[in-house]
Amino acid sequence: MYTLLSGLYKYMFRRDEYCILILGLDNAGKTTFLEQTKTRFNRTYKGMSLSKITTTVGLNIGTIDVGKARLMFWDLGGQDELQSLWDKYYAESHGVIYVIDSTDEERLSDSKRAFEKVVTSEALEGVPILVLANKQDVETCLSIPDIKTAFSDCINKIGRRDCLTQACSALTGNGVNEGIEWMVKCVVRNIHRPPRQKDIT
Amino acid sequence: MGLFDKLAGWLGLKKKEVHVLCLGLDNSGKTTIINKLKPSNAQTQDIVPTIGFSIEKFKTSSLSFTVFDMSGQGRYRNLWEHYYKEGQAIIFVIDSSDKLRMVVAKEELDTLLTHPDIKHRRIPILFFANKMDLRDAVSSVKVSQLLSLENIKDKPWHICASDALKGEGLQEGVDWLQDQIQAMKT
Repeated sequence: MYTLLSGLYKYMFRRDEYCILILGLDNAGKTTFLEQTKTRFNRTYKGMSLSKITTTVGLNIGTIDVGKARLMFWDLGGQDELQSLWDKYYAESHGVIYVIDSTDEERLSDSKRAFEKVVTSEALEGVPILVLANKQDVETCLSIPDIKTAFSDCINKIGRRDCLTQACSALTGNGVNEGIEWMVKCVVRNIHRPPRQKDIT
Repeated sequence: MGLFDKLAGWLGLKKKEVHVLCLGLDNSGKTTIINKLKPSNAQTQDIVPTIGFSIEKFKTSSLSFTVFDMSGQGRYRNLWEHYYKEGQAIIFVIDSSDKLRMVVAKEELDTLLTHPDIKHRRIPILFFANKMDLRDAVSSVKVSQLLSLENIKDKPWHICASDALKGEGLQEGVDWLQDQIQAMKT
């Protein structure tokens, strides 16, 4: 009887936990995106002012609940030296959000190189990737087709996985909800990486 | 007095108080860092090895910090765990020029992170890769690799290169800590 009841309780109050990595070059807007996501999906969270965000050296984390899923974000630093830390997180992540600074045309090739490294990594095989073309609020930014052309030779390296390119502005919040909802849908249906299960206490 | 405290809180005169633990091996510069964060008229000139621990207070723009500056000497390190419960954030100081004892620092950090009072709490950890002014100091990224900080997956952390003697890099770290604590409290 106890097992039945506890099983029912667990079924009702269980949440599947997914870990999402946020990657991208420095100054792409990863932390801003994370803060924007947290303020949008947590009603009680007030958040820090987006203008005060500085360079990440280390790890920022955030959790949000979307339906029955709980997403845990790992936002890593994007500077060259810090990119060596990225692969340590691959094995445990269920999804990757790759943020591109659409206004930085000069470093787009650097970003592409880093992106290639991410998609070709074996530890990330089959993991859904959301590519965010950030800073779309700036008028002189590159459009989605421009970025897709620049990244065109990566396409065959992406392999068998879900991948979406989404325009967004972390500052104003445009495109954030769409991106997160897509991500949730993909990590839930990705059977190769089962979620970590956690009871709500 | 409870009543006056509350009144001051409502009026916004009183800043929120947070308890922070300052940990790290001996001679890494914990007391020097805390000393530099205090207002200039309260700073002491000579810093001696801390015995046991000392409590220091300083204020930032929106928070009032109470720091437990623990002694880093081997025989006092067992005192640390008694204060874990009270800490709302941790400052961990590393001597970046002391490559030999980096493993000891890593060991102490690992025991800290696996302690039941710390393990399941999502408290921010600020690392100071201190003594950057010395010639043989390693970079903050290297320190994070040596301490395998990437294994910390459920706590926000930040590593800051610092030079406590000149006070460089300290403010930046404390600003990060302040943001994290405020985000946590809501």
